Amino acid sequence: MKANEDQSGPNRKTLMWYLYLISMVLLAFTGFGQMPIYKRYYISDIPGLAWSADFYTTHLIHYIFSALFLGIAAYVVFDHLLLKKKRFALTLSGFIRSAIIAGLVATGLLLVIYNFSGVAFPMWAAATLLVAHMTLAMALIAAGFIALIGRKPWVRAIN
Amino acid sequence: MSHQISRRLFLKGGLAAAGTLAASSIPAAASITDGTGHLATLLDISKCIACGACVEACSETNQSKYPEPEKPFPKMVPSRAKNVDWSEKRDVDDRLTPYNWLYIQSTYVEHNGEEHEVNIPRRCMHCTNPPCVKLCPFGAAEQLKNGIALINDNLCLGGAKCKTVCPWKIPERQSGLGIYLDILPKFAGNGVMYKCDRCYDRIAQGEQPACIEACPEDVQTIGPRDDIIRQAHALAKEMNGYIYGEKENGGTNTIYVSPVPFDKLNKAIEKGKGKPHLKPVKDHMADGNNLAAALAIAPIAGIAAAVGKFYKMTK
Repeated sequence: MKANEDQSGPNRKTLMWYLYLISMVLLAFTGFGQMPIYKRYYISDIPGLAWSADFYTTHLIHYIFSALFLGIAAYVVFDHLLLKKKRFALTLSGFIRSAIIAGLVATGLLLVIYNFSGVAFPMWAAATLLVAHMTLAMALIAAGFIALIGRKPWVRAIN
Repeated sequence: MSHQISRRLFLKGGLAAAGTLAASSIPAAASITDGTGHLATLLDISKCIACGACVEACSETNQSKYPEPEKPFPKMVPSRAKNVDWSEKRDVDDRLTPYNWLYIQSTYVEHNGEEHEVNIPRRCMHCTNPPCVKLCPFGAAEQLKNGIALINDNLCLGGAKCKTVCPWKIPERQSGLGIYLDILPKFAGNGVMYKCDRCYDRIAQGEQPACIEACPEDVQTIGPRDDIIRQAHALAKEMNGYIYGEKENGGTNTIYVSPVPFDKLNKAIEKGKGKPHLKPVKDHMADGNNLAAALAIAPIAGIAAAVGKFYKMTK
């Protein structure tokens, strides 16, 4: 290994990891907030969370953290391909989470396109996309918790 | 068994998942609805005499679409969510309800030293980029290629987000029917939302919306949006009048032309629940859509950062 080679393992709690966590938490919160539940279930009554009942605000925050998340994802994937692929490989848990994230990105981007003026999807297509996006989000949360509890890392070192 | 996944498998799996979704028939089924495809209506409110023929025709034509709720309604949990029942007040016609998708706002306004009696048929504006459709979390609303914004009563849960995001608060809820009764009736949803569907079924058969056909004064005209906008400007010029609906919320498919400025009308009309305003409305979808550029730039920045690190490390 060269002296100047990146020594950090992708499982370390780096700045990227914290940004990923923050973006995931806010994406999940604002994503579920697209359903009319926060006002009904008093979440928006919690001091400091009144904004959570404003669908346009949660929509904007969802977009902002989607951009942050896409930036992180692109960085992590290319960092892996360029620098770490010879030393680290995805675990099964990492593979499942990556596949779910790929699905979330694909459905999310299609929903962004759907929101543009002049674009119309048939009802079945919009409903399918929205349900798929929500289901994948729940699957990612579940996979994240399973990984946390079972201490399943994203990658493992190649011997 | 090894839990290691090769990069090839990772990329194959990830891309397959993304590809399956992205390459599905959804984008292929998408359509461009801007401009030429949209049908808009022009309402010359100087002609409206508030005879109510349009309201009556709307009600008669859409009877079969009106809600028939099951009673008693589920007890809502938490109690903040209230059942909404219009089924015993089907005859209310001085506001929008699930049983009255069109009503007439009447007022007297002084303008240029003259008093005007103004009557304004009010219903869904059918926005060119309708937030009720685009922001429904379950995809229960659809914008047809001809621009009509339509709520599917078989899919709507009655959460009323469409009403919350509508700049005019048009859709109205009826509890006691719909898909929510089959899911978690006490805890999620609360009925079905109803509003004008601009007689999409009649239009599909080459007929006019009932309100337009029934009007004895020819208040409304329907046609391709570009033509309607041109007609609206010509009419406004002719009567030295004012236009509402062309730019509101980024543009709607309901264009009002009035001899009285709309800010005066807005002050004069009765507003409130089921009684929409006539204020200027900014494009509610624009802020989010403007941010979409960040979604394109962010991955490029991420890739640039990774490539920059790679060159730094390999120097």
